[in-house]
Amino acid sequence: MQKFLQHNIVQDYLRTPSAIISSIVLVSIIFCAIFAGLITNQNPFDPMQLDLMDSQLPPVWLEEGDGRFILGTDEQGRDVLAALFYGSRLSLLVGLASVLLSCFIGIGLGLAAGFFRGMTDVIVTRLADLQMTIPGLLVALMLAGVIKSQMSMEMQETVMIYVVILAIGFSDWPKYARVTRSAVMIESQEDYVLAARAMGASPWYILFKHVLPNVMRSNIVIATVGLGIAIMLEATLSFLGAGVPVSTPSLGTLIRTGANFLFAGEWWVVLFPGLMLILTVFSINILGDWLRDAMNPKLD
Amino acid sequence: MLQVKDVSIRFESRRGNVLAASKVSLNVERGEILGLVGESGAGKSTIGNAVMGLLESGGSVTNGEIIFEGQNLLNLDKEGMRAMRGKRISMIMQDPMTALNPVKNIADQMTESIAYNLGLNAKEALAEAISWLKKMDIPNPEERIYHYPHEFSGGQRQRIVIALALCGKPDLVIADEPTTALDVSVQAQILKLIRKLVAETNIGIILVTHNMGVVAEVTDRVAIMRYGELVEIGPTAKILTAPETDYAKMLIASVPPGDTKLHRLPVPEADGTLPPAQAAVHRDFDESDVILEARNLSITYNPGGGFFSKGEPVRALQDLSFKVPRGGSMGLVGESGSGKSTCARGIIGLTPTSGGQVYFNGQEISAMSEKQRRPLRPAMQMIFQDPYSSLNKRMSILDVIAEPIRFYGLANNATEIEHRVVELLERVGLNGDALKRFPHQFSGGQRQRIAVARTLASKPELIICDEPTSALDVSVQAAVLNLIKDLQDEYKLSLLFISHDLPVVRQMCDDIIVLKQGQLVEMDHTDRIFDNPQADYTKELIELMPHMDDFKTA
Repeated sequence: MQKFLQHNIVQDYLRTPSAIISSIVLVSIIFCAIFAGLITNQNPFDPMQLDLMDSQLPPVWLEEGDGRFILGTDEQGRDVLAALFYGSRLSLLVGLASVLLSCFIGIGLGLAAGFFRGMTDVIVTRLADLQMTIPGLLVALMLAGVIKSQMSMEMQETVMIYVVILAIGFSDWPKYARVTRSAVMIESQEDYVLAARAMGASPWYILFKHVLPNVMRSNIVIATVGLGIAIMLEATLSFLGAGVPVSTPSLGTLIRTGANFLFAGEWWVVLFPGLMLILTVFSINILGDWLRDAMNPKLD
Repeated sequence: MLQVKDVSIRFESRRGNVLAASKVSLNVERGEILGLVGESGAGKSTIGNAVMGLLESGGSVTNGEIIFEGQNLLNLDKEGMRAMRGKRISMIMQDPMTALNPVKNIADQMTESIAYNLGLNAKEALAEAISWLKKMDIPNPEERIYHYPHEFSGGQRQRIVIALALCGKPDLVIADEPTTALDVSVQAQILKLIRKLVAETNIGIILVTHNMGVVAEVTDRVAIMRYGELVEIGPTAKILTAPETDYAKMLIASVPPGDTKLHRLPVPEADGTLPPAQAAVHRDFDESDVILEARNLSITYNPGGGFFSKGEPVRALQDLSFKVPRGGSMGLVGESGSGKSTCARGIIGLTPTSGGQVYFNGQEISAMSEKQRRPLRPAMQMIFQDPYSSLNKRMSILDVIAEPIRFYGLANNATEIEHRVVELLERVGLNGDALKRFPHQFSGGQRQRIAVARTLASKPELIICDEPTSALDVSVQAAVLNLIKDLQDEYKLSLLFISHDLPVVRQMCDDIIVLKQGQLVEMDHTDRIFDNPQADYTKELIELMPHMDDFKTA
């Protein structure tokens, strides 16, 4: 414990209020998302638990507010707060999964390109360039369109979430590939790689034992920022109707459905999911920003 | 002319505050070169930067005054300080490769500064710039001035950097390690040039350096710094021959002498006393018991042609033959580009050889596949130049040193490995506490000891040392060189020792090979090379190495 507290990054963390605050916010959001079933008194997506009598209630601090629904309800009597937690769960899940997918593809290709150079490098770099010319949003929209037209509603419900993860994951890998490729090229020049070669080590041994651990740091930093971007992208897709289905909504879906009631005066149905999205992405970005500074090897 | 009085400098960063200089006082007069020496972290560059008003961000002068011609520079505002820089005080940077703007030609860079500082028009400024290049012995200056920095050699670039620093006719110049990035022959020219300019223009120079040889060569007075404090200041001859403080004594004793071979370099005992230097005893070998032999070894590079073009092959090493007897040490000496590192890499198999043979313990290894070579690998190991780069920063010291043991399968279980690693750490002067720590928690010297322990882990017979101490401070260098010598005696190791530093090679090697542009110049016993060199190039190299002997014998 003593050692952990003396670690540079921990020390730095304890001195950076913005990092502390944003991580507390993020941890609370994640906590609420994971334990949504336990801390809310309603599963908003189980039609059996909804009561139309409770519909269109404003937040509790307004005149007609109801103590059971702190942030009010929508036109089906759904608790906005509960929907928020369930929605964040899905947003975070999709974001995390797609970032892991991008990392996996990007780091793998980046390692190969940086280490083996030559043709491998040319192919990977060109692929990345090509990928960068196609906006992720368009790819996802197209994929979603094709799948929607080919599948029944039931199938869509289970498949769409994976489609979104794949679409976002595949659109973001070039970032990781580029960073990894250049980091590998720099690390390969270091004498410790020469020392391993002089020992008689094979390229695979050097790649996984020596080079990979040294390029993870920069990838962790961009993955943090990438998580914010992925969550935003998912929200955009869902808002446009190409994301996860309404029956298992994410924050984006909630905003989309809520937007219909905005001009009917029920602002709370759309405002709170919007704020939640902003809060989540904002704290992730601040945390990512801090990580970038704290993990800067030059400051070691 | 310049007085630095009780100056303290503090750096604030997100990792806490550091006092980079505390109560430093020194002065420089016109026509004088003051050497500011110290090991890394001594705060010598910080003082230079503070005088220029160019402290890195987070740094501030917390105490004292810097008085230049009666004016306290610390009281000047940004505008006033800018008027000082270039015109009155200027700076020569360490690295000539980055000190010039690569997208502007020399004429642009020089006339800009001249026109601004001397208030001349473009035409006059150009004439002035050309005359400076002439002074700097740049051939054909009228034409060369329109060339870009990459079209000049390293030495020429450093001369241009000097011209740029001097063309505003400053009164004081701060030269921060002006020759560190250069070869000895170029270094000698630059130092001569600086000396000449001081005599001609009566300016004052602060020469920041870690190299005692440079100090001996050109400075009038020396200030020695350590941990941000001034240790000793006085005339060069006095400091070098009769230093008063223990640190100065130690620092000067640590410099490997170029004129004699010592048994061990003097390194202070635990109580701080310096042992007297002892002359080396002559070591005898059975010359017929050869551990490493190269026959007509040639290495040709193809410097990565692009996708559409083929590169011109570079002949990095041509027809080199030599033998290293068991227990002996062979030095490979030369300037940059001489092929000495290439030779080492070719022998250990990091670079493919293109001609000739290498024999290790009588077996030809140059023609072997990696698989055939594997059983021989543990017996031949290499120590790299830069201990900051040769240890994987993500691995604990245990893993670093255990790597060859695990890789070659030299131990049966984890306890045995740990036991062996602790033993190795203790052998190189560290203790078992280091096991769980990481490279960045150690100093350069300690890291190099760890690197030495790693090479010893596989019980080698031959160690190739590629400039093992050139990244280290001089006192640390002395300790590491002694360690290598001790280990050589203890384990009967043979060494192939590569260095550009002639005095170091003299201390370490029985025989020396002098290389120039990939070709053999001379090969002989160490003492004969130094005392009676045959080839002109060897003579020149020995002549040019900065001498401290002039003072020592005086």
